[in-house]
Amino acid sequence: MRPAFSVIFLTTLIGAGQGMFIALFSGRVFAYMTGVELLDSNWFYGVGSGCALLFMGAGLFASFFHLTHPSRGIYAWQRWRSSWLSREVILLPMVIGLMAISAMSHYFRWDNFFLEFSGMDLTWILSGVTVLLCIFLFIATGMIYASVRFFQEWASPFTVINFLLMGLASGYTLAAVFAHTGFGRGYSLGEFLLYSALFFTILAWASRSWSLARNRRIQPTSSLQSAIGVHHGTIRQLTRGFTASSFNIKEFFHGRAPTTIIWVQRLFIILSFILPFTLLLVGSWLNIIPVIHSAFGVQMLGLFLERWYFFAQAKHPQNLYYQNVA
Amino acid sequence: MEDPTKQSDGDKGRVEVKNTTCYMCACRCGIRVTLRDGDVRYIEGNPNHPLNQGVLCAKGSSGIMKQYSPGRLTQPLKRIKGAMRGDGKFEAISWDEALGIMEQRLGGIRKSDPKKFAMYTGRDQMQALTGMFARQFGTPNYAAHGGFCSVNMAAGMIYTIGGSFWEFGGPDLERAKMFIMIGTAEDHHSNPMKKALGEFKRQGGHFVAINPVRTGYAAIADQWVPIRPGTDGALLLAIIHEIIRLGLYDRSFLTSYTNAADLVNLDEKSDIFGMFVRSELNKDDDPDSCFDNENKYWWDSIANKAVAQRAPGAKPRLMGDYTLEDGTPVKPAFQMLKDRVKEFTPQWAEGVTGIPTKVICDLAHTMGVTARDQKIELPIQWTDVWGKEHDTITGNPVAFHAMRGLAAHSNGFHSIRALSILMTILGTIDRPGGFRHKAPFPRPIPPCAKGPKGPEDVRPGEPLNAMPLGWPTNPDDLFVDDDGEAYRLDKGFSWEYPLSVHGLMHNAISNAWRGDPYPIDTLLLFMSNMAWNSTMNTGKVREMLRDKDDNGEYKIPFIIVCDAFQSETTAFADLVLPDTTYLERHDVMSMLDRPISEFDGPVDSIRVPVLPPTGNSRPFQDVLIEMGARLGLPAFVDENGAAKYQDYPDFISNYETEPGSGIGFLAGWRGSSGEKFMKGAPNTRQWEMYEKNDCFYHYKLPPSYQYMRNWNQGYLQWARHHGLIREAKSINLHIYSEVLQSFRLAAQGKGPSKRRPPERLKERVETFFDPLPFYYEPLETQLINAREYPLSAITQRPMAMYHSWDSQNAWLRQIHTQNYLFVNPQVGRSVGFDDGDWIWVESPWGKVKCQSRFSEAVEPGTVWTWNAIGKASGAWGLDGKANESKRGFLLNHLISEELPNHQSGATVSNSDPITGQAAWFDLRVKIYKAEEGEESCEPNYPTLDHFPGMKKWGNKLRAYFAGQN
Amino acid sequence: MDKTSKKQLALVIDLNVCVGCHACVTSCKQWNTSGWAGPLTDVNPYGENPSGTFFNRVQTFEVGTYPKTDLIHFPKSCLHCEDAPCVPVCPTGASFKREEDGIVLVNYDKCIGCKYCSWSCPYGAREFDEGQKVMKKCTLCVDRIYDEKLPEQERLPACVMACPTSARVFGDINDSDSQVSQRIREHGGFQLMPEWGTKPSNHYLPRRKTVVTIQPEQLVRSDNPLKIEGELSVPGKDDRSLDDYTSW
Ligand SMILES: Nc1nc2c(c(=O)[nH]1)N[C@H]1C(S)=C(S)[C@@H](COP(=O)(O)OP(=O)(O)OC[C@H]3O[C@@H](n4cnc5c(=O)[nH]c(N)nc54)[C@H](O)[C@@H]3O)O[C@H]1N2
Ligand SMILES: Nc1nc2c(c(=O)[nH]1)N[C@H]1C(S)=C(S)[C@@H](COP(=O)(O)OP(=O)(O)OC[C@H]3O[C@@H](n4cnc5c(=O)[nH]c(N)nc54)[C@H](O)[C@@H]3O)O[C@H]1N2
Ligand code: SF4
Ligand code: SF4
Ligand code: SF4
Ligand code: SF4
Ligand code: SF4
Ligand SMILES: [Mo]
Repeated sequence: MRPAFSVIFLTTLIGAGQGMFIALFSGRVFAYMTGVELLDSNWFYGVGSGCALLFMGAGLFASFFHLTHPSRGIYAWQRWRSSWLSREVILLPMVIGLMAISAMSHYFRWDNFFLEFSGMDLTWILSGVTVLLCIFLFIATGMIYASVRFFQEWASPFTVINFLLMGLASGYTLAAVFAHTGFGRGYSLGEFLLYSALFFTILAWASRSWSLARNRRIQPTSSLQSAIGVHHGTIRQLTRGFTASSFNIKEFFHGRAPTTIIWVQRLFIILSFILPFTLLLVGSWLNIIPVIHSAFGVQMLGLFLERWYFFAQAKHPQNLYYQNVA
Repeated sequence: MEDPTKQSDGDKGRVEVKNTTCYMCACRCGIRVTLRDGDVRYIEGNPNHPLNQGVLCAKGSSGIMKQYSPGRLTQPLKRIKGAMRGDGKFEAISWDEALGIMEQRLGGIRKSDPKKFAMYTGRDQMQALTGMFARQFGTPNYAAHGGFCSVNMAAGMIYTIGGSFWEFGGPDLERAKMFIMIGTAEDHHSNPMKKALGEFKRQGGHFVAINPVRTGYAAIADQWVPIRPGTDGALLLAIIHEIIRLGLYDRSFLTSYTNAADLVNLDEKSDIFGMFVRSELNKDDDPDSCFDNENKYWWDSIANKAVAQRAPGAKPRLMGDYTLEDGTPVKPAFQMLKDRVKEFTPQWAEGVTGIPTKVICDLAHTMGVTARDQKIELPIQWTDVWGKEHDTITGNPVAFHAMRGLAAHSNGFHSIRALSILMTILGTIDRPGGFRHKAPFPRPIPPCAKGPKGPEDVRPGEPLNAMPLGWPTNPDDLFVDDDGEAYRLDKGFSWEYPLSVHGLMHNAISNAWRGDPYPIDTLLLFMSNMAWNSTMNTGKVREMLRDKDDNGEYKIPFIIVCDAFQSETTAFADLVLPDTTYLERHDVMSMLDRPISEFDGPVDSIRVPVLPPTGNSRPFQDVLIEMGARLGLPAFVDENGAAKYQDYPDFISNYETEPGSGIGFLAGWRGSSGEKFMKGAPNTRQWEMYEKNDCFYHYKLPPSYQYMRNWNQGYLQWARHHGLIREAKSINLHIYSEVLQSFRLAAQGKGPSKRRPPERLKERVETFFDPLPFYYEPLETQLINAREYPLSAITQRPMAMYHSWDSQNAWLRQIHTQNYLFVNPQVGRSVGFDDGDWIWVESPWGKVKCQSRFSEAVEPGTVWTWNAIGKASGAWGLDGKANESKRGFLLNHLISEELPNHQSGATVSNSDPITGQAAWFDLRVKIYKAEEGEESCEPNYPTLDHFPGMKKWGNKLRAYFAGQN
Repeated sequence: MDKTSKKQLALVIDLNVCVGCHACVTSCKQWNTSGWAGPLTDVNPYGENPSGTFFNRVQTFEVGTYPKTDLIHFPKSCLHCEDAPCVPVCPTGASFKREEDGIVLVNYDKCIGCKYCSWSCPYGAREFDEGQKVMKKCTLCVDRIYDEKLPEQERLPACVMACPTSARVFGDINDSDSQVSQRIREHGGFQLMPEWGTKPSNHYLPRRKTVVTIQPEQLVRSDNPLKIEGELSVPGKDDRSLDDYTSW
């Protein structure tokens, strides 16, 4: 595939946004259970959710570059029964909306109002539903790729799990970074988020490595033999039938040297997982906040590369028909 | 979007539909053009048309993009004073000025020395008119593309069977059981051939392709026989050897219809050694007849003595050697053939062709047995020219087709003679399932038309004494001066290439530049890209076109180019005449030229304008007719010297070959009310009647006239009656060629003709004018160090491109934007490069850089590429950086137009020594990996600018939608 | 009508006779560029690295190694899969499969240009149009085949009309009496990449070879003309035989 930058940004940014939101929610649960007191919890969750929202918005913005007629997105509900893309298109604004309400509910202290009004802190339900939808959105985004069975590299539960785990890893890292700015600092919530970030980063690393190993073993389902229905050991395309270019060549080939692909793979493992993990750990041990902060930037860079690689490495059976030119 | 099933395309806009004839190539299919609001909506095949029956090819379907191409020329152009030729700097002028310039220049030449005007035409289909113009003008320096195209095919077959492939005949695939296609990639009969092949395969016919390369047609062959280029003669002779050895030839066909049994004089002392022994003429025979008179002898096996040819009851011998009563040793021609092929065994041919002996023998056996055992008998009664009635027509269903793979070699004439003889001994000529003629063929062997014979035939201010091109029967028909040297600019019909029946326009520029045999003044090129793909030695020829003498004058003083597009050649013109496209003009596919006849009878057709001319473009025919009148050429003016014809349509309706002859360009709807055909008075409503009949006229002969036409009394009398042929006499096939022998005799200082070749050419003529086919290595290969250049390099036609002219077509160019050199992987790897690498291809004459592509479908001794994809930068209205000029390449740079200096001279054309056919495919090269660096082809030329009047295509997108442009 | 016999229009392409002429490529382009599905935009039409939207492409494959090389010309357009994976994934419903005849189409007015459908086509049959910025593909000439203004025999896809070798046949593959079904049945019609279960409606017919074998006996026959020439020796009356030397 040719990696499209809009899609790289879309998926990584909303991944981080969703992850962040989930992280904050889990932080709140953690705080509630352990009785950790925050200096200004409304500010923390409000601004934190706003921050997650920012990433969601940036992702949404990026997606517009991918679509040629974004305004026709309004038709997108039509295929929610069958199309994961449709589901994503439905879920994304829902998540954004709920996140925004959630953020506001914290920031404007609607909890008290809710409490007075209904005797219940509805922000819990609001955020809880948002978290649920975030998870659905992760699944939807992952399934967009995992459900295309023609990309055998993608067509596996790993794709969804990886999307989820990498989103969580980057989300928790972002949340940890956020917690290590002035406000969350020093509280054990910060530790919780940081260790969770470490945990998800390790998990994402393991899962991504697993999927890489899986992908290395893939036997292509289709062959030139099945593509043209001729059964012979040696078949070679002499020409795809035109020396000019076409959509099928631009969309499904990355056009990079194999060595580039290998380097990107090594680099993204380091940048997405190893380095942020080390930075978080070292930063927290030595209590050097900028080191902790740098972990997020590094990880996002790594995840951009990961997503680039994710696309570039996917091979489509259509390529059997577009291999050679003469 | 609206529901596509609830709308009709025909409801959108103002719709007009018109029939005309395609000219995206020379096949000339019938098309129906639908216009929407004046734009071409679509072009489809005309289902009623005999040629294509509704189908259309890739080019024909892309006519829209030809019509609306930014490469179109729309203004007459004059080279800017002071600008260098070739730089393409022009100013737009009016037609008046353009014609004025021409009139003045040509008028002067005609009055002083008409041969200083030379006129050559490329892929046109109006040689009857251009040839007539040249003749009327008085210049012998006229030729069309045949010489660089496939004259070997025309001459080799016409001098043997009185007809040819190409446009004059073809394989009857409807009835054939076995089909052997040799050296053909696409050919002129594009759509009909594809249609017939599809049917043939579906019927389970056995299809063999003999070709160093497997592409297009050969792809669907049941058997691919890869052959080393230039060696088909060896293969064909070996097959003949095997067929004669096993007695698989059709003896009765040979004795009845060929000169196989005719006795050849083998008395070495005789002045007519090697000619047929002949008696006095029969009383009703005309001594001046251009037909081969039947006054030869047979050896009768019953009487065991020589008897008159066709003596009643005689049973002629085909084999043996005999002595006439007067002591003259004689042999039947067939025995001569048998002797000839004795040494050409399949084992020997394996070494030459690279084809295993077994494959050669199997081929011969399958042909022979299929021809003999799967005979077709059609219950059609016919009468032969000798009066014998036959109840049936027999066919031996083995059909052949061959084209430039045989023709474009310097040994092509003899290979093609061998093929014609093979077809003859299998008994397949003009018979069902074999080869069949198309009107106006068969013609006598050789045809009657003769060209000028000496300097006295060219006179200032007067038409040429004869047609500029003809068919020599013996040395007396050559066109040479008293020293026996060439008198045509291209040296056609000289001792260098005596049977160059289509001229040698590929040498015209080099000769004119050198002033050899004489300097000329004005060169007119029509529809021919002679500064690029139809020239050999392209780089140097481009230099010659702009080369100046010591006085600073161009060596070729004035060049006029008529083209519809900005070809590479137009840049070298002093005057450019913008032609219309095929959708904008009247044209005729005339019986006087190369009509589109079918096996079942003559067909001719027309083109009518579907669109108005673009810009100031004007049909070249109109230009010629006006110029003819302006110059006062007799055919174009009346008694008072005024223009006789208003324009081309008027000319076509009213012109007659001779006053009152009733023969004109079109055969249909003649006579004052259109009641006559072939012959009849002019009809003012003829165009209209053609239009009403989908733009063609098809005369279907009765079945009994459709076969055996060389000997078919009914057909020959019909043809005589309708002016197709001079006499209704037999056209027996020439297994043994007396015509060739007459030239050989002259070289030996003997024979009936008094003309003798110049000393330096004696050996050449003696060697190559062999009355029987033989195999020799291509001439250039003999003269260079072939070991250093181990590979043959050839081109072939892509089905979706016509020569150089489709790169301006936005759709077709996407199929072939760049060409590659196809190399067998074994060869590439052994030389040290990989698939896709950039490589140098080097011949003794130059080198080009190009990209390689490995292919398993090419014989390892051969490399090949698609023809004419590479372009000069900026030509054809393309961007200077277009892939065609940066990554595409032209093989012609490597091909020399002349042979290395040798005994026959330093300027002998790189052509067949008999016909002057350009030997494109004799090219030998070596290949090696190019140094790392820029991925771009070489050589390169400076980018041409757009000419005035050309649309500049600035947009990134083209979204063609008829009615919105 | 039961489910399996629902009408499914399709092309059957006979690889046995396809000579790779590209007529189907450009006839398709010219019909469709000004038709319902048009325009089919070309990018850099006269410049460097042009590209363009075509609904049909003809490719070439080499099978085997020299000298036993087969060359397959292989035309490919949308196969109008019965189980078209490109349709359910389209988020907007722009891509749809017609109930009445199984033709898979794109409604340009609904297409958001996400290209997701093209990822879900294993055959590379969809092409994105750079002019209109929507996804396009072969329409089976749906704007021809039902056009009652056209004479009946011309209500056929443009590529089918043009194809010089008649390698392309059009019809309903679920009607067992149709010409396409008959061809599929009689000539071993097959589908591309059956492993994906897309059930392409377009079928391909394989190469078929006619092989001729000549028996040695066929080469010599009693009517061999060499006999007449005295070149085939017929044993003379007095030629010796085994009987002259031995007895049993
Ligand atoms: N290496 C190599 N070279 C070859 C060959 C080969 O096989 N290999 N083949 C040779 C053969 S067989 C041939 S016939 C020649 C062909 O060579 P050419 O006769 O030169 O043919 P084209 O390249 O088609 O160029 C014809 C010119 O006609 C112009 N033209 C097109 N339509 C019209 C029109 O309607 N009116 C006018 N006035 N002009 C028009 C085109 O723009 C073009 O400039 O090439 C020869 N050259
Ligand atoms: N689409 C398209 N059609 C055309 C043309 C075009 O440019 N484009 N040009 C038209 C013109 S002007 C002409 S003359 C005809 C030419 O029609 P073809 O003769 O079919 O044209 P070429 O492509 O020159 O084909 C030469 C074939 O001979 C093979 N060959 C080369 N050398 C040898 C050999 O020594 N032995 C054998 N057995 N084969 C050999 C080549 O591999 C190639 O397949 O086509 C006409 N039709
Ligand atoms: S073969 Fe093609 S280009 Fe040639 S005349 Fe026919 S339709 Fe036109
Ligand atoms: S071929 Fe591709 S585009 Fe056509 S129906 Fe099948 S999956 Fe869809
Ligand atoms: S590109 Fe258009 S047709 Fe394809 S899935 Fe997206 S919206 Fe549907
Ligand atoms: S059916 Fe119509 S749209 Fe489809 S490939 Fe053929 S011509 Fe093109
Ligand atoms: S038009 Fe017919 S023969 Fe030509 S490439 Fe297409 S399917 Fe093959
Ligand atoms: Mo030609």
